[in-house]
Amino acid sequence: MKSISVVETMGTRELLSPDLGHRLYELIRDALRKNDSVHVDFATYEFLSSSFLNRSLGQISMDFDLDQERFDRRIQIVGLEKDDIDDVRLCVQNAVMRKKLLDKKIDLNQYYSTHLAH
Amino acid sequence: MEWQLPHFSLKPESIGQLGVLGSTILAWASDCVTLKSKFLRPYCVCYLEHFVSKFAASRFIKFEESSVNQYLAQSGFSHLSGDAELSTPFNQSMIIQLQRFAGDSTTVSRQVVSWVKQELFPFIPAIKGALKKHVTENLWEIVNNALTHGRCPHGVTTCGQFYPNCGYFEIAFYDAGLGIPNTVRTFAGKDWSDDQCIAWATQEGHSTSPLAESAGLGLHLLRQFLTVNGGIFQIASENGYYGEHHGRVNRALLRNKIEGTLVNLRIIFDERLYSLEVSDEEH
Repeated sequence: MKSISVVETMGTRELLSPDLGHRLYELIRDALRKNDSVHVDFATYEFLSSSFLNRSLGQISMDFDLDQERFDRRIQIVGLEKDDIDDVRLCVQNAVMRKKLLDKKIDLNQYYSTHLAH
Repeated sequence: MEWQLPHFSLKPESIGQLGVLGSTILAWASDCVTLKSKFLRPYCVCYLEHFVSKFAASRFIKFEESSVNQYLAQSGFSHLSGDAELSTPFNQSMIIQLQRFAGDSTTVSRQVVSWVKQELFPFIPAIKGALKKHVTENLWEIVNNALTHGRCPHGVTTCGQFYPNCGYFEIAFYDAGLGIPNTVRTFAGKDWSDDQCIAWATQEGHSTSPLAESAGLGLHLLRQFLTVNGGIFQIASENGYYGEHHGRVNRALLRNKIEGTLVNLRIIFDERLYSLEVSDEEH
């Protein structure tokens, strides 16, 4: 199994910017193309943002069509605090929902007109 | 001639007066605008600095009240008239100085972290551990949203104030970019009102990014954080206003349009108020 040390490969403990998230996305994407699963280690990170998670793990979930179960089977995440594990799950759920809309070729105008907060 | 400003409170109609302030500055005939007000909230200072720098860079401003000029000078306001009368200095450690962020996301994320570590946290000893982490991540998310969606070449400006006796600080972010309603309407193709557009943008999973991109959590998580924290979350953009306090939502249409987007936050200094789990157990 391929292993990625996030802080080491990003060169920072501040995992905030979507551009950094995209770099992690590329690493995981390449690893998943060659391996069944990948081990992603966040040890020693200091900050983690939703924009970083969306661009990395959320995008992986969309592009590899990974629902939560398949995501957990193919991507082993370690080293995250509990609050951030919850954010990863939320990010994957959100990505799965967007992927479903994309696959169904949902008319966005129609979808969003029925999903307006009141 | 001087212009009397209204008292700027946290009420939506008061925040909406920023639009009048902006158009007054633009319409002023002379290079130096004199305003009358006894008190400015941080969101006014933030708006003034960014708005004047972007739309009226040759204008200078002074207030009739020397204490307001002093506050602006200590906040780092760059358009204070040279002949503005100053008062006795305030305690500098109470003021979160003006800061503008612009550039690529990785550079700005480093700037934001450096800014919170050097300019914010040393003055708020009550903020510790996990709350520090959550505050940093959420402030970054506001800056990132402004740069990504507002697309203002002038970036995003912030400033704030500590209220140690009240146990909170207020911090505002302003960008004179596209504005949330404009962006949402263009994306959704719907004739929604400005406050409806802002409400829509704050919901989980809602994003104007292309559907093929994973997005739509930043403002939702910020709202969640402030609900647990007990703080205040306010957004004013164009003619729309959206506010939340203790989970109660307040929406309004502003009479005066604000260019771009203003986000104003009140964050409580209580390290227990950062996690949903801790909050459920202890409060």
